[in-house]
Amino acid sequence: MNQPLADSAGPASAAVTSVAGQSAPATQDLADIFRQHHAALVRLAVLLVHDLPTAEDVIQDVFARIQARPGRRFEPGGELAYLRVCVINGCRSVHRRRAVLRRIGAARNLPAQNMAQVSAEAEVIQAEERKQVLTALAALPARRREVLILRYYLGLSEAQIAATLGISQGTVKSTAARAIAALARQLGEES
Amino acid sequence: MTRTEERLTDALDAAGRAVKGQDLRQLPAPGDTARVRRRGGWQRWLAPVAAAAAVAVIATFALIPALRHNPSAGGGGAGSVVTVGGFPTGIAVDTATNTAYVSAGEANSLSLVSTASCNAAMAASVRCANVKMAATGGSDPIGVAVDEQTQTVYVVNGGSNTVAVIDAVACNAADTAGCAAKPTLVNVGAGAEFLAVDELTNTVYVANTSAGTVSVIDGAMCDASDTSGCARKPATVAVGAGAFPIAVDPATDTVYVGESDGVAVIDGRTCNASISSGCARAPAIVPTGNEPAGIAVDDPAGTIYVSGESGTVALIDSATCDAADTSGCARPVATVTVGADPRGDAFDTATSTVYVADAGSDTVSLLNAATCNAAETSGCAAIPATFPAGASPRRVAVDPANHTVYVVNVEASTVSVVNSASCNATLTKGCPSAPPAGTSAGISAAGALRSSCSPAETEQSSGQSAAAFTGQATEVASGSVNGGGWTLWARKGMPEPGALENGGLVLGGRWYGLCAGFPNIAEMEFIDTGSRGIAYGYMALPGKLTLTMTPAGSLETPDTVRLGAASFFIADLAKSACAYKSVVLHASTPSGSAMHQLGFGSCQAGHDVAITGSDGEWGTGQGPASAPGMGLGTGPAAAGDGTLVNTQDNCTPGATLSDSGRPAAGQTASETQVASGQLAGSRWSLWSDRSVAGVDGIEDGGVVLDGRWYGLCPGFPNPAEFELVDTGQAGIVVGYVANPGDYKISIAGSEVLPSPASYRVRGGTFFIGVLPESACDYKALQLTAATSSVTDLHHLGFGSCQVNKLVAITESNGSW
Repeated sequence: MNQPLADSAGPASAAVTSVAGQSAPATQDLADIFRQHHAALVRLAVLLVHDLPTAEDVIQDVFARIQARPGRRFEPGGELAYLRVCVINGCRSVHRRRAVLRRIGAARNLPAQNMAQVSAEAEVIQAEERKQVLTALAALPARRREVLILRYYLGLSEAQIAATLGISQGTVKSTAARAIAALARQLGEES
Repeated sequence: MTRTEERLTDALDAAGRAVKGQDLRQLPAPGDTARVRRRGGWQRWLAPVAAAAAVAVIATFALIPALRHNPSAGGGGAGSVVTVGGFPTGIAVDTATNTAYVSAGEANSLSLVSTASCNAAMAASVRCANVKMAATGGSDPIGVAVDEQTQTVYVVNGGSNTVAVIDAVACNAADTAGCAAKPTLVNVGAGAEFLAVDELTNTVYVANTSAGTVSVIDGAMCDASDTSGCARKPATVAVGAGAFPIAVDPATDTVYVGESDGVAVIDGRTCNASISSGCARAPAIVPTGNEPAGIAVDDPAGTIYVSGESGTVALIDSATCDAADTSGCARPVATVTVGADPRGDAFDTATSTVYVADAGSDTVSLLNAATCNAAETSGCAAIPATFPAGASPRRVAVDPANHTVYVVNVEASTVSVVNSASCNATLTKGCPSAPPAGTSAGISAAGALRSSCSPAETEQSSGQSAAAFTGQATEVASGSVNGGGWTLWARKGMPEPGALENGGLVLGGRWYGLCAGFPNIAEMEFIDTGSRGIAYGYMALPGKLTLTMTPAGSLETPDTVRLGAASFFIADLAKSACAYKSVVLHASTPSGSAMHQLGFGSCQAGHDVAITGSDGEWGTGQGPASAPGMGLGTGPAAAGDGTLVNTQDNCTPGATLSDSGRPAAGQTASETQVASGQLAGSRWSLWSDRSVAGVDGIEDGGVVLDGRWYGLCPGFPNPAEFELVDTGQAGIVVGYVANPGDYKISIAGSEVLPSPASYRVRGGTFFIGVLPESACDYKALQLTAATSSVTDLHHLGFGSCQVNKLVAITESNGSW
């Protein structure tokens, strides 16, 4: 299994809820973080918002915000966990804006909900089976989708997912189990 | 890994790999400020501030009608609570040892509460204070069950996928001699969470959420007195993904397990500790359709009550759906609408009441099992009465011997102690009428903005006969619209934020609720009258209300009623209520404005039109309502899902605490001094982050006292913040209010403390003062910051104390 964005920082909560201890990253440090994680974070955002330009916007905003806050501090290795939270929040904002636009009928140019339909540049996604999986994934409620992506794409532990999404480990478990069940149902793989 | 998981992993992996680094937009690395888009920081704090302001004003609004009826009508005040170990998610009562065992997920232990001294008759903080602890031998304990036949406590260690076997005789509230010993552990399936004991067959059934199975443990060979069989691998039953709540009906020897598709029915007669022939059989599934989260069994009426996260309780008839007869399992089930996000439930035989913990609305619903059961559903249509609990109540246990109900408040780490004899489905005079102390009404400890009402209730109740609702409410206003009269009602016995939201409008003898359920200060519903529709709602800010709606001309001249710090409005629509698929409401008062975009769905004559979407912006600044979100800046508000997301703050409580007391020179290099003065013989100065404008700069700055640095960011989304500093010589309180206005500051613990000195700085109010006692002497304080129209409250709990450091903040609740 691919392990994108893997880190050894321990539970993400360390970065999210307690970022004390290190001196503020200099601009050069932030630039290094950007170079190291930019592509991986864009990939995560693509899976969450379903189109590349929007995903790139989200990541750009995340780094712009961090740069605008030079006092930001991280625990050693904790920057990635923090960035994940920022990316997920940014992607949620995208979905909110899209929902509003759809309601008021201004969604003519919005990307479709189907990741597989919009990633024409990715030949591998055109494979019918993967397209089916991604379509089913996109149809899940937001939290279930987020839990599955964090678990099966990023390979995060339940504790890390819980910290990233601000929910309990128990909720992570039940959400993941129910999301997989729903996915299996949609894919006709119920046992 | 299942086939679905493999396919998902493969598809995600491929989708991720399809995004190639060389194809990405070439962005400048941070540091090139000329090219990187940069946002102003000041809007960030305004969204949570404004959203939070809405809560305070709604609270004020709701208080008005509450004061018009007997404030003691709700009965029992704030009720009693016991503080237990962190993140408690499970509870079981052992009547033999008079102990309530409460799992403490963060402490990897059980909290042991004495039900002999801490019960409905004797509940008092002093009697409930002496909580003991017991090790569970694993991480994240969740479900707890007691086998009173063998005097054994079984606890699921959710983080370890084990079940701990604890000797209740040696480890209870009165005798903790055996509590320190590491318990024997049984390995169970992945994601184990809850369990149930069948004392008839001496079997322990454990629901494994991730595995979708139930582990069947032989209690005869694995209990307090005999652990020889604990190492054996338990038999398993496949029940389906998401197996979570579980209960045993001893009358029929049936095990009911909630899972993703409904409730699985296991034949306990053929699948138990000694017989496993039936374990391989696929269980019948009852399609409850409500995401089961709790199961309670009413033996006398033969009813299984399944509370589900979708907001209902489903009723299963055990006469036709049990171990012996599954003919009725596939039939549609009756449901009852309760509070938001119901989790655990428990049945009290003495009062025929099902207590349902509504985690999303911080209440407990009192379902009348005498009139709402498998055979009799006449009482199922009425929405059950509720009483307020602590933050996120999720599990309930009944102690019949002491007529006491214990409600586990997960986010508050407390257990509410309630008298079941005077607080039940038919008698509510003994119910708490306010949330327990330390639990903010409307604001969770985690800072999430909550609504205390349930949109599902509004939807279900709309158009029903008003008589069923007005008995629980007080009339607060009246008028006429569309040729008919209307009256406005506030719910009795509710905590202040919920009184009006849980009330409603009466029109033509029918009831229409006021709980849209979204955190916006401007709320609105449409009624389909069959001809021209009616719009009604409220604006929770003081002053004369101006309303407009897009599409333009949709609202006929609204009838507005000023109710203290808020206004109710009602108006004819230009067309049928069914003709609108989405509208944008603009509401403005001299003290602020709001925009609320609503999407509408199914439409039925005589009912509220279903709301399918909600988003908006609101604020307490000045400005016309013609532009969305005036007073908020141009950033989008944190609206639509009821959550204030504060994770992008530039500071955290942890960082502020650890940095405190450091030499100031290293901290002030990027700061600007904005105020200074003398206090208790020491010089202080206030510093603002140079890169951040307005009050936000203060939050990112700090105070210098005797050359030492103390940050001003407790990190919680409250515009009224404060910290305590222990200088060794004196206790100092410092803080600020991040809103414009002439704020009066007061701080109180058990008594009101001397008012600190206040300074208007950068659009907010900074304050600093000397405490009468050492900073270490205060375990909790409440800040009140009030103008003539707004009151912000912030309650903080304090922990460890160290000279020249900020005192650690252990708890934060507030309303604003």
